[in-house]
Amino acid sequence: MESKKILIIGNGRCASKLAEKLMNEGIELTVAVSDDGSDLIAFPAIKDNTSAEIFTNTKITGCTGSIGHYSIKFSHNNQIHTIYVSHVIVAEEYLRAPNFSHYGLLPTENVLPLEMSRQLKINPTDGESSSDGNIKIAFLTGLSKESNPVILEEIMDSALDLQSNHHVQTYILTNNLKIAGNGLEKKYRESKETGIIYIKFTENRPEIIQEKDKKVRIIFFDDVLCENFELQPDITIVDDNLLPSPGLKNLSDIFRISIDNNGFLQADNIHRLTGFTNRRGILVTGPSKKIQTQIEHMTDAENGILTIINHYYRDKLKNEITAEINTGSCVHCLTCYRLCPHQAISLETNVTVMQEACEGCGICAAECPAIAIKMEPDTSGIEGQSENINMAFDPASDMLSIVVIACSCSALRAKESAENMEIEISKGIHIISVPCAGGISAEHIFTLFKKMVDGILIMTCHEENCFSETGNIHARIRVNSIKQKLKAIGLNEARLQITSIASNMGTLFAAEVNRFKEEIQKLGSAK
Amino acid sequence: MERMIDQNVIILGGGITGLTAASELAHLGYHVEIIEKSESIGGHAVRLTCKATEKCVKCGACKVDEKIQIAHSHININIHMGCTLTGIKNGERISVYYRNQQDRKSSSNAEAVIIATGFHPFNPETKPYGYDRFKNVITSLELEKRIKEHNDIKKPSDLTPPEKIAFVQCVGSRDSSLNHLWCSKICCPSSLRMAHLIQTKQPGADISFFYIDFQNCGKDYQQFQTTIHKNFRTIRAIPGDILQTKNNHLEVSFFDPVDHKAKEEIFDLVVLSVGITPNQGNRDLSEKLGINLTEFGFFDTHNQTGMTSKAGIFAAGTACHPMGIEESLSSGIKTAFRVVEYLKNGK
Ligand SMILES: Cc1cc2nc3c(=O)[nH]c(=O)nc-3n(C[C@H](O)[C@H](O)[C@H](O)COP(=O)(O)OP(=O)(O)OC[C@H]3O[C@@H](n4cnc5c(N)ncnc54)[C@H](O)[C@@H]3O)c2cc1C
Ligand code: SF4
Ligand code: SF4
Ligand code: SF4
Ligand code: SF4
Repeated sequence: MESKKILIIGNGRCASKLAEKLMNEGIELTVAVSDDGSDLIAFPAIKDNTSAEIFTNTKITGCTGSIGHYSIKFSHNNQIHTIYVSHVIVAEEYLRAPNFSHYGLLPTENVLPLEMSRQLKINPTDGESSSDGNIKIAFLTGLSKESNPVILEEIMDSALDLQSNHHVQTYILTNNLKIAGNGLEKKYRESKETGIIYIKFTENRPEIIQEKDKKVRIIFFDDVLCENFELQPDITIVDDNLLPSPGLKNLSDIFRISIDNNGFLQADNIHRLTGFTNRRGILVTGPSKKIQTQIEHMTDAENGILTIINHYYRDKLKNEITAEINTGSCVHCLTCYRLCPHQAISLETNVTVMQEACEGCGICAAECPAIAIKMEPDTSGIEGQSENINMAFDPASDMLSIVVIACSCSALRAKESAENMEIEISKGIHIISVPCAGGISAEHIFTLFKKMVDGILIMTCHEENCFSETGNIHARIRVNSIKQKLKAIGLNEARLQITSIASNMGTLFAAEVNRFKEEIQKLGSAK
Repeated sequence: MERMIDQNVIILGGGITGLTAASELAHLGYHVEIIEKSESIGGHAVRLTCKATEKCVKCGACKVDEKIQIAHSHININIHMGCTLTGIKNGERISVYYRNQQDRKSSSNAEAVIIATGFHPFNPETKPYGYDRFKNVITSLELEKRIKEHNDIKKPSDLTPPEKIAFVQCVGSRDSSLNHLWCSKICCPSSLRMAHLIQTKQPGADISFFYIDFQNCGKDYQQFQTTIHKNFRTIRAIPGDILQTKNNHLEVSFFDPVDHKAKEEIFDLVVLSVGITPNQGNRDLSEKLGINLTEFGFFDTHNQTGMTSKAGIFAAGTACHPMGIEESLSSGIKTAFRVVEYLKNGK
């Protein structure tokens, strides 16, 4: 039976908001927090609500099952608990790391991290040592590493408060001002009017010296005045680096979901925009996903909830095409388990495909050494579609038979787009659509060549734009090895080609197909 | 079997924002009617080209084709092409009146309306860059179109590949003389990716950027940034003006921030990175709907909540703020969620 419970992982505003909204929808939840959960528990909607189970100091240790039927194990008070949930939402907060070392500074009472700038107690006599009697506060941001609009907004808010309410002269020293957030350009202009001084560096960087008496001196060449300038701030504030929560690595391992180059969850892939991961029913929101504003975190939380509601209201979403394992032939090599990008293979009792998790990419079927996996229904697969090829092409005629195998996420849409734009595509091309090029096996290709096909062009998504993440990479590796075998049987390897295309490129689709046809025409018939 | 709910949501504008909201609501079982001004759906995103080089660079442009397909095929979605709103009346339900280009009038009743009418790319004619006079001064949107339709980069004057190209950033954005006090957010990422594509297609191309600040481009910007500084010349200045010299070459004058001198330099193609500005029709539409605009002329949604000043009327996407495709998608979904909440609780 399908569970109607959600597991939220995280302690912070995003997790709290998620919990609140889900409770409003009357959905049952469990929240697992890796620390003491103080932020979460303090959140009003949760404090006053007893329907959510909260476990603190937990560590997720296992996950099996699929959307609607996840079984999650976690440790809590030296015990392993198991819960059954339909979805998991990860909403761990960032780790903030002040960039002291980037600027060659050590934290002292007058060199502070950004988080403390809001709690600064300004003592008016502090500034008396300065020549003009004003306290000077310098913010350093984005000088060694690119910053982001989230940090810039915090700095501007903090500087604005100090400048307008505490008679402080503030300076913001930066390289690229990360103004690409809603309302920031306006805030920047207003903050300049209050007297905040922005100093931007391009090629050069200021020399930052922390004296023995802990005073900081910032020496730089002023581009406007064209002379060296020295700033001696009473307080120096360094910006923060927003890092992924250290727990995300473990979650990525346990849930077998992708992680990006910076350690945030979700692959950097446009098919994963909003909250989706490579595994159905495991969602990632807000600060576990990328650096973005609080409002965007909340948007994410709401998007996640809509995904869940959507799932609950609909009949089972099963893909039209799914894989099926013939248990009798399976040799338990676990290739399918390792390669399935959507984690749809279950190892409980036998090796089986969890139907509601399978996206039908066919990678497992193409790679299974025991040929134990079939795609169902097979009529919609390559086999089914290539049956018609005999009818479409008469081997006796002198017309060339050319097949384009088009990935339905990209090339097939590009073809449709070409047709909508009324762009001419060469006549006499047989198009086979596949859910993912990763499912094209060597056998498929050889079967087509046996049917006297003169050329096969495989068109996949671009690398890092594959819905099944690795489908196009598998396809490329396979094509390269098949090409070697083609040579061995005396076929020109140029008769099999692979190229990548995006779904919005109709003209390019037509151009690629025409180019391929011309190349095959030069080679002549393979018959 | 699809669930059916006897409630209707009208979406003004079938760009990526409107289509995303439509598909979410339709999946949940609501009836959705899209009122689209032009003769096709997809909005600006369908005009953008793919900028993948050896890998996808995550511009998001190809995401729209999927949404278009859903909108055309979903039984709960009805599209009225070539139609504009003429007025609304609040009663038991919201009555929405519209007419098509042949002036045929129609009306529909709905429980909620989402404004997703998008943006207007800045028209640079008023800037001293000779956009309307010199053939080889083009906008970033025109360059997108060229590559999408012809798969190559050519100078409009003689259809030969340009050798020396300048990108001018922030055209129509961050400009106090126009009172455009916003960053469009998309023109840095888009032009940086475009320049990267040009260099891949045409390895010798000499590319310069005139800019104020570079904004982050995608999830892995730090890495991309390193590439940029290796491959493109960056000049931190916005050009004063552009003149045409012989052979349709362009003389760009600017104040060099390194030498502190005014300079002129010759380019053979200048690309103006035009920003996102509010639609001219926003004022009229807001009056018809009885809702507020922000001081800059976008639809006001109370600190980005998706709700306007009038119950039952929501706004999403670039109609409210400058934003890219990814944010437009989330904005569309979020607003769909707000509509669902409203129809359950508020009604
Ligand atoms: C040059 C350029 C490059 C870009 N590059 C990128 C990029 O690389 N990556 C990225 O993420 N984003 C990019 N963008 C931004 C992207 O185009 C937008 O984020 C996205 O298209 C916004 O979608 P939308 O639905 O909000 O608006 P739109 O695309 O403007 O759609 C609005 C729709 O509403 C219709 N409409 C307008 N008024 C009415 C009315 N009164 N009644 C009915 N219908 C109406 C329009 O016809 C249109 O179909 C770029 C933009 C430009 C200009
Ligand atoms: S790849 Fe084939 S043989 Fe290996 S475990 Fe999977 S089904 Fe069994
Ligand atoms: S077809 Fe793809 S998604 Fe389905 S089980 Fe095989 S590898 Fe996994
Ligand atoms: S996201 Fe952009 S670059 Fe990537 S494949 Fe799609 S259109 Fe091309
Ligand atoms: S994204 Fe870049 S070019 Fe566009 S307005 Fe912002 S700073 Fe200027």
